[in-house]
Amino acid sequence: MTAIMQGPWRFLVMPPLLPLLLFGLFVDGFWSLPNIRTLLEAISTDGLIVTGMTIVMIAGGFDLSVGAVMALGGVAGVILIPSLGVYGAMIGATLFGTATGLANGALVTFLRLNPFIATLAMMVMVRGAILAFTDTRPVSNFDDPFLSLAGGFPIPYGFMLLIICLIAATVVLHYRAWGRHVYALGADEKAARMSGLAVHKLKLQCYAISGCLAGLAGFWLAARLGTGSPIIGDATPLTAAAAALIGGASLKGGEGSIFGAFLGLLFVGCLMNVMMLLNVPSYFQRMAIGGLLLALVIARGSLDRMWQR
Amino acid sequence: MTVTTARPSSWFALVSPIWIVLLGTIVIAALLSDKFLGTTNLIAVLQQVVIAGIVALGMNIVLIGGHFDLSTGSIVMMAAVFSLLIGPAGFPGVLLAVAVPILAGMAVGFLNGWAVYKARANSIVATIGMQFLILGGTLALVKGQHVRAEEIGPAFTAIAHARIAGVPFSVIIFMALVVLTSILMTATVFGRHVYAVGGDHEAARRSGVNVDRVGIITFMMSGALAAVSGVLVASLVGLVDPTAIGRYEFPALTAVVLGGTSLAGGIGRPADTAAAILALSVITNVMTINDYQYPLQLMVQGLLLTVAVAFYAWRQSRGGRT
Repeated sequence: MTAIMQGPWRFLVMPPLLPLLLFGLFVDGFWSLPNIRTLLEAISTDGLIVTGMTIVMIAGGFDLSVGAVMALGGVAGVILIPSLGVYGAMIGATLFGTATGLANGALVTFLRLNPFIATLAMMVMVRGAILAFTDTRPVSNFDDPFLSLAGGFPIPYGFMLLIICLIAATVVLHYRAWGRHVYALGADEKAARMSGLAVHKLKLQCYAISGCLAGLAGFWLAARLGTGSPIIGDATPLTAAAAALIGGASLKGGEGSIFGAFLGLLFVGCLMNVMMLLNVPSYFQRMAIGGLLLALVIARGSLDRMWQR
Repeated sequence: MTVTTARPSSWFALVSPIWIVLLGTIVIAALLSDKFLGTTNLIAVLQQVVIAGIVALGMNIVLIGGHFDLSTGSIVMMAAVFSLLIGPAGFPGVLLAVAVPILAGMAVGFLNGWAVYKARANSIVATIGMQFLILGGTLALVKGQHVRAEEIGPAFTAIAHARIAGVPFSVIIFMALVVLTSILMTATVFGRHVYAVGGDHEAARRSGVNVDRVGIITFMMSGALAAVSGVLVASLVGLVDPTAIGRYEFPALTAVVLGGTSLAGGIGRPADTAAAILALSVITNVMTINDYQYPLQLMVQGLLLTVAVAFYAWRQSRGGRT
């Protein structure tokens, strides 16, 4: 369990979480069952993405394309349903996501591109592709088997899926050699290569996982809305990065944990939920996410420097 | 990756491949469409370049210093909104409508620079955070509504619309800024310091360069240049829809990279960036003439960015000079 919450950051995870939960007490309707369900539903799709993002960040990378891949998963899934059925379409959406993730990985490993730039370019290409393919219009499917994926009361099926993914990710990251290799890769790539790790393969796998989970999240989101929209998800990489950073991941790699990421996800999810309950306009929500992210990287940078001394 | 790369020795290194690409795109564009070489269209291409081009110049300076500034598109929007809210009419009005947004842009740049150089924040994530902060803040300021000035003086409209010998004044401003930044980066001590900081941060610090100050100034210049773009947008259109205003970071970043600026810092020239944004504009223009919509243009830009980054990475891995 040592890896679950490590580093100086662990002290900073809980303090912001507690006041927020208390704050929830004073907001009308926060603790009502329907709202808790809404909260769980909202964090279930974001959580899949945070999981992938955390793995990529532990490996020393970053994935800015998750928002666009999420949109791709939704659009591709909805289009595939008539021919493949709901579960076939889900696999299809996941495969599309995995393929973009692999492409990201290939750009980062074989072409040695900076991960931010590679995934930024991928984000723009994927976004352009789905906008062109859908003619910028959302695609819909309101069939029962599809919409029922978003069912489940009081705990939504999506949240159960998230829990399964979180447990699986915890096992492979913290209880398998593969996970230790990912940490080693993120902490020092050169050392990892020298000690005989298949660095390229590991990176490819990490980006593929991130893409796969983003595609799946997009499909699930589409099931919740009955609609796959080509324009959703432009803030997703930010919220995911914020959650991962709160959870102790670092932009330099080698740090972070799935459990921490889950706490970060809860924090960001509660924040968004409380703002929604208070009818905060969407632009203030954008501001809050931007400010939070900025404060996090500044705090993290200063903290890292303090620790080095 | 030494400072000497800033001053190439052979003429071959002096001419970046981007100029050949620019020439190629112009030839292909002329072949693909007979409308391309018309005077009105050529001026349209130049005018299209101005906004993203000025943003790209600032981004280029920051990147030579080794960091990214992805908040510039939101600064463009903020500046345009400020400019129109101030009400660009009368004597102090026009002056304020130009000066206040630029000062605000510099202030944002200072915050970016402080976060990146003093607090050691990752520049990409920090400036994306800033982008959301500013976009949200500006939208909150205008409550998501369109912004229209009550009265716009002719002097303000003239900033973008006046023509000298048929060339729009905005294009002349862009050209002047290209020349100015080129001189700044190649012929001044400050410029050499920026190359030094980007080339090797630690070495620059040890040889007595005030790294943090130089770095913060690069971000302030980027903010100021983005704000100039915003003022030009306000003058050009006179009406800003803060939700629809384009994102300039991506074409600007593509241009900077296409122009050969190293993502690791220390290498790059403003003039090459200008050539790259011109090439991009030619491509967009031909695609528009031939009825290819925005999504496809987005895809082509993403593809170009990937190819450019890969090309320069490959060239560097062969040990060639950049």
